[in-house]
Order: sequence, then C-alpha cells, then structure tokens
Amino acid sequence: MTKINYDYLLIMPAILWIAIFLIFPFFYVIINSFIYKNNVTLNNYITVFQTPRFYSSLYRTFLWTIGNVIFQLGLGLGLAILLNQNFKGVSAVRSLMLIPWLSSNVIVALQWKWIFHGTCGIATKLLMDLGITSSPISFFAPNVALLSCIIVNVWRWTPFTALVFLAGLQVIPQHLYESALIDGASVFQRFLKITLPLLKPIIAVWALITFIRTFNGFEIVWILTGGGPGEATLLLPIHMYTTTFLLGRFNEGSAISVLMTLMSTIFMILYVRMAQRSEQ
Amino acid sequence: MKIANLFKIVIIYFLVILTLVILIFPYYWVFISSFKSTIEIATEEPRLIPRTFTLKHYEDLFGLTYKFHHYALNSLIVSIPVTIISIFISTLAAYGLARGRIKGKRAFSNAVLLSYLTEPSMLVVPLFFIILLFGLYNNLLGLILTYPIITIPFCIWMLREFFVSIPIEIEEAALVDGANRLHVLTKIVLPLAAPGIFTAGIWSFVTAWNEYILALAFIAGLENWTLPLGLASYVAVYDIDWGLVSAACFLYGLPALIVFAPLTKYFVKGLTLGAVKR
Repeated sequence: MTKINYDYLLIMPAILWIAIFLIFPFFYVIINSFIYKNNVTLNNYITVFQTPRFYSSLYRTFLWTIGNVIFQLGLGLGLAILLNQNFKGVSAVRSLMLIPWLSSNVIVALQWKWIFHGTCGIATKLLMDLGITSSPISFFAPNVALLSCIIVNVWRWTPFTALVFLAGLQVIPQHLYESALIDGASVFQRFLKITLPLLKPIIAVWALITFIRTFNGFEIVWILTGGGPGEATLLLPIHMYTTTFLLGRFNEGSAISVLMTLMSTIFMILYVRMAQRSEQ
Repeated sequence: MKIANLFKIVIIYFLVILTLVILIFPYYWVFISSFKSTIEIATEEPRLIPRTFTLKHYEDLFGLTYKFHHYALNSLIVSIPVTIISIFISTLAAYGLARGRIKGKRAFSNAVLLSYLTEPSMLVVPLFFIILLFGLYNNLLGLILTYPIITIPFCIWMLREFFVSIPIEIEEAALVDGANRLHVLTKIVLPLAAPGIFTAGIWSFVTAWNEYILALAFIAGLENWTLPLGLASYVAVYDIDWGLVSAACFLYGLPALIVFAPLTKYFVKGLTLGAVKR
C-alpha cells in the first residue's frame, strides 16, 4: 500500500483561491475583451486604440512612473546611506521610516490634499513665509498637478525604499571599506566601487517592484485629483476605471485592463527570473 | 581631522532632522487640524499652533450625516473574516512550501510571486465579473471573498521564511514516529511559528482595513460602505470640512499604527522577498 502524500493537501486551499479569484477572472476578462454585442471581434481593442485618451493617459502614466521610480530610488538610496551612519537614536529613526508605509493610500492622499489646499493649505503658506514664492501656489493646476501627485507618492514610498536599501547596505562586509580606506579611496570612490556594485541586485529588484506598483497606481491620484483637472492627471488605471465603471463600457474597459496587465506582465516575468536567480 | 568629524556630525543631524520633519509634519498637521474650529480653518491664515480648540469634528463624525461608526463596523465585518481566511490558507501553503515533498513546488512558488506582484487595479475589472457571476454586487461578502487574493501571497512568503527557520530535526523525529504532516504542523510547528502567524494576521487585517479600489468598484450603496469609501466621500462634496476630514483620518489611521508598531522588523525582510540575503 502506498502512503498517501498529505503534503498536497497543504497547498490545495491556496491553489483553489488563486485559481478562482486570480486565474479564472483573468481568463474571463480576456474572453470578455474580445466580445462585443455577442460577437467575437476585435472591436473593443479597435475602439481603445482609436481613443486619443488612451495614448495620452499611457504617455502620462510613463511620466508618472519614471518620475516616481527615479525619485523614490534616488532619494531612498541617499536616505539609506544616512541611516547606515552611526548617530544617537538611529534605530528609532529607522522605525519611524515605516510610518508612511503603514498609513493607507486614502489617508496619505487626504492629508496631502489638505496640505496642498489652494487657499487654506499650509504648504503655500510655508513656501511664502520662507520667501520661496511670493504668490499662492495652486498645486493642482493643470500644469503642475501631475508633479504634485508624484511628490505625494514619492513621500509615501521613499522611506520604505530606504529601509530596503539599508538592509542591503548592512550585509556589505565592512572590511571592504576598511581596505579601500587604507588604499586611500575617497568617499565617492568607495561609493562607486563598493556600495553601488554590491547593492545593484537589490536596486534592480526594487526598481522592478516600484515600477509595477506605480504603473498600476490608482488610489492616491484618484483621491487627490480624480484624474483632473481636465485630463492633467488621467493615468491609465484611472482611464480604465472611468471607462468601465463610470461610463459602463465593460467590454472596452476589459480591453484596457488586459492591455494594462499585459504591459505589467513583462516586468513581472523579469522579476520572477531575478528572484529565481537569487534563490539559487 | 577633528573639525572634519564635527562637520560630518552636524551634517548628519541636520539631514536626519530634516527627514523627520518632512516625514512627520503631515501627521502633525492632520492631528491639530482636527481640533481647529471650522471658522479658523476656513477664514484665517493657517497656523502651526491652533488658536481655537474644539471637539465638534469628532462629534460630527459619529452623527447621522457622516456615520463614521457605521462604516467602521462594515470595515470590521470585512477585515476580520479576511484575516481568518488569509491566515488559514497561507499557513498551510507556506508550510507545504517550506517542508512538503511536492512536485511542481517551483511552479507554485512562482505563481505566488506573480500574485504578489499583481496590483489591485489590475484585478478590479476581472474580479468585477466574478462578483457579478456570484451575485455579490454591493455585498460585503464579495469583499470578504476577494480581499484574500491580495493578502495571501505576501503572507505565504513571510510565513515560509518563518517555517524554514524552525529546526527541521524536531519535525523529523515526529515523522519517524509515524505522525503525518498535518499532525506535525498542528502539534509541533504551529506553536513555534505563532509570532509569524500573528504578524501575518495583523498585516492581513490592516491591508483589508485600508483597501479602497475594489470596494469602490464592488460596493454601491451607502449602507455597505467601508471606511475608505466613507472617508473619500467626505471630500467628494463642494464644501469640504477639512477639520472633519482630519479627524476622520486620525481615527482611521491610528489603530493600524498602534497594532503595527511592535511588528515592524518582520516586514522589511518579507517585502524584499529574498532579494536581501542574510
């Protein structure tokens, strides 16, 4: 008699859940994106590709994503190096870095909407008091709204990025720096020749995660501006959401959703490859 | 040399303080705004220290118009079952991944990784059809069933790390004695992994508590709104009462911060998903 392998029972519930609530819905939406008035057709995709909004929102989404990735990673790396120094209270400061991450998108968006308020907001007041600007700034005017949204999202994610990089900095063997110091390498050289190369795998992985998360970001911008004013902050996920749920065009919305997921999938596969390599 | 050192220390402290101010100021601002009178907020220059003090916004929140408590109850009705489902499913799966003899383990762990990377905004349209198919539109049960797909992948990953760190000898001894895997899991491993499971549970709860886009798409009626929907509705009016919004943000955000604070160290490691080797 062969012994029953109970091990499969362990992963069964997870597989079922993933099958019902992830894989099946994705197949369903793909099929749905090819159906228009009970016919199998490419109509929905043609409609999507004929809408100028699709291209403008896609372009804007790339600006938003790249702006976010550059600032989050750049500032995050700087902050990580700062947190890797020895000073009094360093561990308390490190824990405080988690606060924006522990907050929810809704809270972050609401509090910054209030701070950036055009007339009663504290940001305008402080900038005027510091003499940086002489007239009130409207942070959600069409030409700067996207930048304001980027600032808010960077504020939310930079501290956490710093903690991720810090975890990487802490495993760099200290003797590498010591011997470089003996050889007379400058701070800048040590950063370029030791820190950056050894941190590269983490930076790459985190850049991918940040890219995927930001590219599909919806909540913060939706609450800050709702995609406006006009179309100034209409990102692809917002375009997908409004098309599907506010205009009720489910098939067209499905097509946008499929395209959005497809674009993210490229980066997701890259990520899985990287993760596999680091497991080995 | 000494002057250079002093200079370095000054720079470090300056940057640290600057960082902390930028980090904490928004919370301070929301906190004090929640106690300012509506008149001070609307008509006077914003002040860092409030001139007026009132609890009116907190009273209003629990009134008939804003119904904060009602939305909070809905959020609890969703978040608690989601936490239980997530813990149950991910504990089993994580243990299976860590210890089980399973063919296709690698494919399964890749699937978990892919689901971890799937953002809620990618899921909203696909899941909407499932919600319609099950007849769960505008029903909190729809949220209870769909939220675990957001929480499970991360929990599985975090718990797997936990199980792997438990010495395997204890389990092997029991297996030799003829106990099966499920038995070993419940009697030996679970008590040892309790802190990890607790952390995963808290994380699931807070994730469900904070989730917005799926609720926005799947819930129509005001009576079924969760807290994020309620809060967003406070700023969806022409005449926004920022004192009230601030009070709501404070009450909504505080519980999550309090329960999370002692558990922070697990998350950084978990979220990098093995990218950082120790």
